[in-house]
Amino acid sequence: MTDVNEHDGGERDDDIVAAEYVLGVLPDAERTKIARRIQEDRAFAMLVAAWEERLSGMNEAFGEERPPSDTLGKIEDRLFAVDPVHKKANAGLWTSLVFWRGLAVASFAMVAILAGTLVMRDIGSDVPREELVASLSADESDATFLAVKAADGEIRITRTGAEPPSGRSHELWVIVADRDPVSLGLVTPEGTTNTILPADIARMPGDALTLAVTLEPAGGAPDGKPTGPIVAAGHLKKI
Amino acid sequence: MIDDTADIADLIARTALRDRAAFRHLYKESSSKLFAVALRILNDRTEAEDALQDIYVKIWNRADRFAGGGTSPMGWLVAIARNHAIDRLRARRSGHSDIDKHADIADPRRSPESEAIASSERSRLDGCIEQLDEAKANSVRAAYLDGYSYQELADRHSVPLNTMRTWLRRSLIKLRECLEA
Repeated sequence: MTDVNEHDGGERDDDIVAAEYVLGVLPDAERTKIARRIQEDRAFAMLVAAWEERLSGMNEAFGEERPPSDTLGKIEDRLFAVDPVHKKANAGLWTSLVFWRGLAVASFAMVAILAGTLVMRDIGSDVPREELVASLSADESDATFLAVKAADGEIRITRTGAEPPSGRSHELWVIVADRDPVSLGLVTPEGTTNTILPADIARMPGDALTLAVTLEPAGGAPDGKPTGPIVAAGHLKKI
Repeated sequence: MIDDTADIADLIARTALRDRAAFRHLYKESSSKLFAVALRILNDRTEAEDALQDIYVKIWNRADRFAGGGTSPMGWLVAIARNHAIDRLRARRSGHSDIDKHADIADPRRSPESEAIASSERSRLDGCIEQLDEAKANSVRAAYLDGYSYQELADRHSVPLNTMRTWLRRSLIKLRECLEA
């Protein structure tokens, strides 16, 4: 997509890409890449914000339309619903043999930190009910990950095994029967990565979902489709 | 929709601090606008309702990234809604083009209040869009308001994809120059 402005230099090109993104005309794969860049590149994010402001004069043309009256309740259920029974289940994390067995490959320290985070979330008031856990691994791969899915569709994933080789990135995918894998973005090498499942997938029963991590070129799969080998995969399970 | 941008900005800031009452209030003040955005782009009520849920989950999770300062809070919310609706539309349409779905778009419904708030920003942008050729002005509006892709716009105007891309890129540059003049 450099046929028009390649003579204008990089900065100018970036501004046009930002404008095209805000206008909304780009195909899916490009939008995914640009959305990622907005997260990582502050200067570019400012170009996007400037275009959002410039074109916002059209926003009034959308008019207004009252949503169904139960929508706020559904949103609050997704974000805040607390199930007291589940609190117990989470507290039982420490003593769940199945859970610990499933994590044999994960280092103790990592798991302790992550489990600690789960317990912390329980103390806070924003606890989503029904967290599911997946331990991701594969034969002949030393990459392992631990992922937690909250009821609101948020996924938190932490690397517990090998780092990606330099110049490559780990990319997380959710796999559902009869569909192409859907990218959930890159897994940061350090710390916990937060991402969110698309709503239609978030509503599926957790055990219908497989999470997989592939090895991709730095910055992720160029066309929104996995190109590298699966280095780790696992099913989401109730704790 | 309240017009007081300071109030909306304040509600977003309090949402970032995990104030659920503020979030509920923010929903009440903004959901009719954001639902209209999702409905216009997705052109399907059930899907727009799903999208609206996702949009507010994102707003809850990203409220701490709202920059404040010179940014328009309602513009920021609409951008989240538009981006989400367009992403859904692209995912739905990938591999095929169902351009006819949008062939018969109803006039946007406007409340008397929002009709009355004829912001100077809007008329300024409208004035700049009017300076473009009619086909290009229509393409800019169809892309922004209805979520048309380059490919769909090219099909609609019976021009090659690259021609449409060039048209719109030049139109965007002209708009920027006009708005900054």
